[in-house]
Amino acid sequence: MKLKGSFWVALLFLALGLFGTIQSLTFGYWESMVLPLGISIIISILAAVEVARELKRRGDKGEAAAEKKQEGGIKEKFDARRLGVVFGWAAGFCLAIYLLGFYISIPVFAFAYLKWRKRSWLVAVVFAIALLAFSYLVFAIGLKVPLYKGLIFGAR
Amino acid sequence: MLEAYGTAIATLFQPINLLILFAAVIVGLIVGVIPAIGGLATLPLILPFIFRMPVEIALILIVGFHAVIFTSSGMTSILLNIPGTAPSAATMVDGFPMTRKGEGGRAIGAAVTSSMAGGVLPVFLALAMVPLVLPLIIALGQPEMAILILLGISFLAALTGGSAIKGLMAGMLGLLLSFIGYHTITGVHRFDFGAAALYDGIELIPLALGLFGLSELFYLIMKGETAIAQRAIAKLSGVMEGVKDVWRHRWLWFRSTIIGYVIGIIPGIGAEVATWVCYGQAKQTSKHPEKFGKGAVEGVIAPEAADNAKEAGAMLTTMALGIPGSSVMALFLAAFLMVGVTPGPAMMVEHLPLALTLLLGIALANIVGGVICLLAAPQLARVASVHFDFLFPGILIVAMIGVYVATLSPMNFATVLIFGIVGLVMKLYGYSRPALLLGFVLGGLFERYSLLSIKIYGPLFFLRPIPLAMLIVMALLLSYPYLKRGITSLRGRYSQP
Repeated sequence: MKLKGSFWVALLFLALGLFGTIQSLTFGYWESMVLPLGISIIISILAAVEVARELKRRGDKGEAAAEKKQEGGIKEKFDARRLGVVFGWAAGFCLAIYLLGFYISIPVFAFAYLKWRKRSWLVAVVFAIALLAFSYLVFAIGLKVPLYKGLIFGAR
Repeated sequence: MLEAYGTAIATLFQPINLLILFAAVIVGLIVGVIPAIGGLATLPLILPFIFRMPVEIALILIVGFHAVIFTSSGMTSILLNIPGTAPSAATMVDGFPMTRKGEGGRAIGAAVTSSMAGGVLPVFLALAMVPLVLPLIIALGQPEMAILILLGISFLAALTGGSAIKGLMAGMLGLLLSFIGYHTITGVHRFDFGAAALYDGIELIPLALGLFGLSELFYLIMKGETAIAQRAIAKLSGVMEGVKDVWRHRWLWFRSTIIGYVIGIIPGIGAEVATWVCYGQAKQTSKHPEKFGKGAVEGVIAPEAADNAKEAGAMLTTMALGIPGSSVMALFLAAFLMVGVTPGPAMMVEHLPLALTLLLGIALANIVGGVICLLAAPQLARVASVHFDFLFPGILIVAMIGVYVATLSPMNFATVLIFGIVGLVMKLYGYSRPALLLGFVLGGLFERYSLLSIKIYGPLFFLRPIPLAMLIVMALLLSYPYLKRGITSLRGRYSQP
């Protein structure tokens, strides 16, 4: 019996609930403890029920039927590698903003992404400049909100 | 009274006041469209400018500005699945699937019309309902408020998740996430692991942007889609179809407007509840609840009507009782005080024409804003057909700027990414993202009301009549699908020969 994603997600909730329960007991005062403890216990119970249901489903019907019986969610197959690449771009952009600030990261990210997607030099340059101009005009000029300048360039 | 109405109309229609109102409407519409930048972030930028203005002009300016933010904020929810403002997150659930089906214009038409009409009707209800709503406000004490919040989360959990259990788990996780950080009553640090970035807890805007906006982008790219709209975007006819949809579902619109208005009146419940409660009742009363979440126009009409209606309600409470119903209304209160008007029961007597001018100003701003949005809708809807090569960096950049502007903390970029993945996992495995969001938004209030209730009424506060009735409704709501399944199975067993 091979266990699939829905089981592991339910198990993750169970782990979160148990972790929350144990952590809540260390909060000392009843005012800070009572609600996190109560909510964590509820999550643990619900997650335990869900884990048991997942196991029963797979035990009764086999893996394929269990996937079909998953309540809600998406039943299609996905390209996880593609997600990894896109997440990498998003994470890289966030790191770039943190280090270099918005004014450098925006054009560099937009240009690099479009070149990676095999767009022409002209399109990539124009798009990068347009995004930078939009961000500057709307936020820095229009809303008078100074954008983050990055860790390297002395922040804001 | 009639004289006061006459004075209010004459004041509002003075050329300078009309000009100020139109200018405020335009700025408000632009602010509403920019993701994550709501009234709470931008109203403080305007306050310093109204300080020296005449009272009417100053208050008309902020009323006109704020009244239409929710009209245009639904557009980013519909087209990009990014909430323009936190309450408009409910519009995403069906608005975005409509865009994917090539019905973005229709969804915008329905949203704007519902929003516009939903912002106008309550203004005329506002003064008439004061004697009726005051006892309601007084009847709701801390225990009722605490259980009402749980009821709201359960409502969403039962209606928007793969199953009630999964939905409730998501809602409870939202509550738990809201407890992260410094506990102001005891000074205890909860779930922050000593990380300075978590001392103040998780911020709402990065969480909402990650949970809905980024996760949806990840999902579509993972699926190999090239644009948001799977089919060609319709033209103006599609927008008009949306306008007609509101007329077809006029009772739904009417109910949602009234519910939104009443929730707006209750101080401290929060704007987000109104839109989700109305979404829930739309699904529950629909003949085709299975279409919700897949692009049902009723799922757009209901939250949009509530979104604008609640503002008139909140404004009434702020002016008539001097109690701000939300953070934005607290800023309004500050604006009133800045120009020398003290909100409260006395205002409705001493400054009645001004109060009426402002209420009529909300109505006029909604009409003007709605017409502008409808005219611009076909052009705006084209955004959904832009290739992901351009949309992905564009959305990511605007979202990250929005996060920074709203929180002024670069650490929140990581929050967006983390909740982008959390949102994707929840979507893939049928856990209700709206329930998590609502739990998170109302967690602080829930804790405050619960702790006060325990101190005042003891640990069994929920056994008071109204909270107990609410808990019974909640239990029925959550167990209904399982009871129904059990009864059907028993029937099947005994009906076999």
